[in-house]
Amino acid sequence: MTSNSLFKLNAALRWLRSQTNRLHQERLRSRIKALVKKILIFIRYQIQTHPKWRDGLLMVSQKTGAYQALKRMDARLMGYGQHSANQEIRLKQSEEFQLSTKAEKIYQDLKGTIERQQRGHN
Amino acid sequence: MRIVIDMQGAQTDSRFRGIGRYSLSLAQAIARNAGNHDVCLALNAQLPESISTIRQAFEHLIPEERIRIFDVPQFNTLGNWESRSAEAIREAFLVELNPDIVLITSLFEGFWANAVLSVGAFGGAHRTAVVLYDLIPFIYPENYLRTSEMQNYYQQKLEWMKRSGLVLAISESSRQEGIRLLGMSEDKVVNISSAIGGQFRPNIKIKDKAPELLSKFAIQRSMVLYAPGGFDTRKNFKRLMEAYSLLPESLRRNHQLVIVSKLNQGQHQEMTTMAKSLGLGKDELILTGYVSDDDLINLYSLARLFIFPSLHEGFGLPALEAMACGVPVVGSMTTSLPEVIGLKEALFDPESVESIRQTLVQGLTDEAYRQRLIEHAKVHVKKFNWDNSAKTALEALEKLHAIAPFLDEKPDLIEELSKVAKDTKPDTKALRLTANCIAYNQGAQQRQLLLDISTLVHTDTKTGTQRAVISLISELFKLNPRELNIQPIYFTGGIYRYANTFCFEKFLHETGTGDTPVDFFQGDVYLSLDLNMHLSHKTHRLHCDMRSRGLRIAYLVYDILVSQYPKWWKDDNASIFLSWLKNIGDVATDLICISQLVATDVKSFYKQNPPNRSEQDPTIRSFHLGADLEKTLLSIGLPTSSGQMLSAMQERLSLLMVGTIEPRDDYLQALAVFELLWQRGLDINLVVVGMRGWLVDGCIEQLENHPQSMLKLFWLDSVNDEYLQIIYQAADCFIDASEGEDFGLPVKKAVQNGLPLIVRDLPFFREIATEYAHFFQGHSTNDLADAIEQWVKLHAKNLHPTTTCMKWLSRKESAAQLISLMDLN
Repeated sequence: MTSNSLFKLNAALRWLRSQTNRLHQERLRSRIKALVKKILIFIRYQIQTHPKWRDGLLMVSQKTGAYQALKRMDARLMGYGQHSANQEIRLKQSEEFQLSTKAEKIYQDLKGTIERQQRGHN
Repeated sequence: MRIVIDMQGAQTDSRFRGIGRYSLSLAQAIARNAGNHDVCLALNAQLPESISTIRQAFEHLIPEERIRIFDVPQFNTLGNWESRSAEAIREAFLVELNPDIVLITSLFEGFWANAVLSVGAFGGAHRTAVVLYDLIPFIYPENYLRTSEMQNYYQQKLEWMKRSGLVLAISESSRQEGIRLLGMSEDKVVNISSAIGGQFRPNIKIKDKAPELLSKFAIQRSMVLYAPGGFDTRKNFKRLMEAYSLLPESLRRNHQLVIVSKLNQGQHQEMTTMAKSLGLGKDELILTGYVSDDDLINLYSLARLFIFPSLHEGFGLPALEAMACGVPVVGSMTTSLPEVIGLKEALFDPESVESIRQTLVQGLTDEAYRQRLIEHAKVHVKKFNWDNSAKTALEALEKLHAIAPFLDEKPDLIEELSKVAKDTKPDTKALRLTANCIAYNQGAQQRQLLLDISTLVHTDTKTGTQRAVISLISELFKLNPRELNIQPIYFTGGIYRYANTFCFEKFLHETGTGDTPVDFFQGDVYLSLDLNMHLSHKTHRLHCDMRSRGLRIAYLVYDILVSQYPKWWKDDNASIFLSWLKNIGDVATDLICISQLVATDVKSFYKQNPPNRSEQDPTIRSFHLGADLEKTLLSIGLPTSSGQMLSAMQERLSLLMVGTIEPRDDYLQALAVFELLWQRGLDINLVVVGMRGWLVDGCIEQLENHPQSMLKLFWLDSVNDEYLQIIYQAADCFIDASEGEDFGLPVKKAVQNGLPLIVRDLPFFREIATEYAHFFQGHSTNDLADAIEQWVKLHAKNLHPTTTCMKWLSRKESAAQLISLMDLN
């Protein structure tokens, strides 16, 4: 089937149809996000496979202080830094998310010790 | 001696590379050869994907309770609060395990992944041993340490390595590097060597598979094979290709250079361009990309010659693997390769193209030379095995233990963290996350049995399942097994909370104050008591996380009829149930079924739909639910209309059916049967007690509008416990004509009240009623009508089977059975 020339000619149409379907199913916002991600992965790939570009980017980003931000973005893009569901839920929660009784006690202890030390330092 | 092995080397992305394989194999061999020593593994909860694989790899070597999990804050940036507090938290956790020695399988993890490795934050450096693979980044910083951040990171790791009490090098060459470049003393660095898995051996059946394998990689001629394990410059591709291009035409015509290793498109492009510029034809260089272990072994076995021209290696495992597979191997005379290959005439100068070319020619044409390489390899590979490496490592660890002073002072983690906070200024959220990790690492004094009753807490629909759940909780509270803290919990807002309020209101039992978030600890047991299938899509990831943190994950399975008869349920319920069944198969350690039949059904379901898991399959066991309901929880009071029905029940024989009106119970057929019996002149009542279920509108209409309604036909949509009890006592017989039954609480209740049974001949009823019921077969109206008529005749002569001698389990016995089945006593 794939060697069929008609099949090849229709490829663009099929691609267009699949994109329309996905747009319908996943909505515009999600498709735009997917497109941006695709472009970023393409750029990342180009940088990775051209050592001169990579070194240049590393140098510039370090000098401008953007290195950490770039590294974080890269980790997010490529799904590095797998972390547990438990902590993921905690991270998504508000700053004052509720802790278990035991963890709350440890938190108060830790906070108190840090504050005491800061007071002593001042 | 207690040896705690930090396994993060087998947890990060390194698990797909040599370091991960080395870490795992060495730890396994140490566990195998430990003798009287205790071996504990320490795993990082923030790298959850690898935990089940590691647990499986040590299944028969180390008890599960000695595989300890620690939690640390997740971090993206090195040197901030999260990363520095993580180091202190990990080391404090290790100290709590009371190790005599800590062995770190890979100190250099953590630049990209969330691995946390440090040495001696609390002064135990002298009791820490570290595996040294190589110092390649130190020797070639321009290639491997391009940024100052990388340089600082690597430098810090080297400092920690120098600070450790013992360094276990994977080859003599690495050992010498450690001594020479880091200035470590000779007796501190020990060569424990390396080894390969038993799967690397000549494949004698390869000829059958050869054509298929070779065509898969487009290999048409004899192979000169190279498996570099990466595409760094030090792998020396350029000189290899140049030497290959200088081979005589006749050799090039009959061979192909095959490079086996994972590579990306850019590297592919770079390699083909290089080959082209050196005059290699299009078909002379084959780049296979990543290949499986099986394919790799087959390629080794099929190769004419294996060449390893690398400029620098820590060990050079592929050379040893190829030798074990019976192929002639030649390689560089640098770093570790001479000790791995072990034969001078098989070595060449990797920086000389001519030397590589000459060795290639000899390796491909000189049969006597080739034979010498093969014969030498047979003897030489036997020197490398994991047990030898482990024994050498254990010997070195014992020596270290003998000289390292014992420290009995436990560090004050909070004090230590407050020092870190001085430089890093953590915010509230960071501190709270840190506290959460410390709480998990500290564990609990008493093991918790966490009973998930989410559905019950949210809505008590008073179904049979929920009545059974309430009974079990009540009995478990009363049983109060020793060393087990029974804690009902429920899922809400993305987390589990203790169901303290619910328990106090429902059972007057105090389990704690307020519905605070649940503390999960390693060794706790999670048991989903209720059928919480509607929450499965939200809780499944959490359950996986709990499992990776060392909790036992168990589910009570009431039946799986939905998977067998999906047409009896609404489509969305059926799909939710099936997805729940799949999810629990993927994560559970225990599946507790309420009958042997359900257990058999569950086993056969997972045989047909194998779970997606790297641990061993869940244990599937069965127990029986108790028949008596919790008396203190009974609802009481009789409705005014009860008199009419009860007097009708006293007038003539009354046959009782109890259960939700749902398709599988086929009440319509039961109605048709009784119409037939009434036509035949039988003076009997049909009493139906059951809530309106799903997909039964037609049946309900008939029950409501039947001409015999409230004369000989009685349908009670909802009755309280006291009224139901009186109905059971007033009835003469209990009928269950269900076509699929795995639960049968009403049948058990009928038995408890001494009612005779007429039941369909289903395996479930055979299991619980044995010879004490009147069984009927067939699916037609006449079959059931005949069975009832026959029973009525037997009853008249008092010859019908009775249930008075039938044994039934009380709820107390049922709860005790559950505890003992799960081995929780």
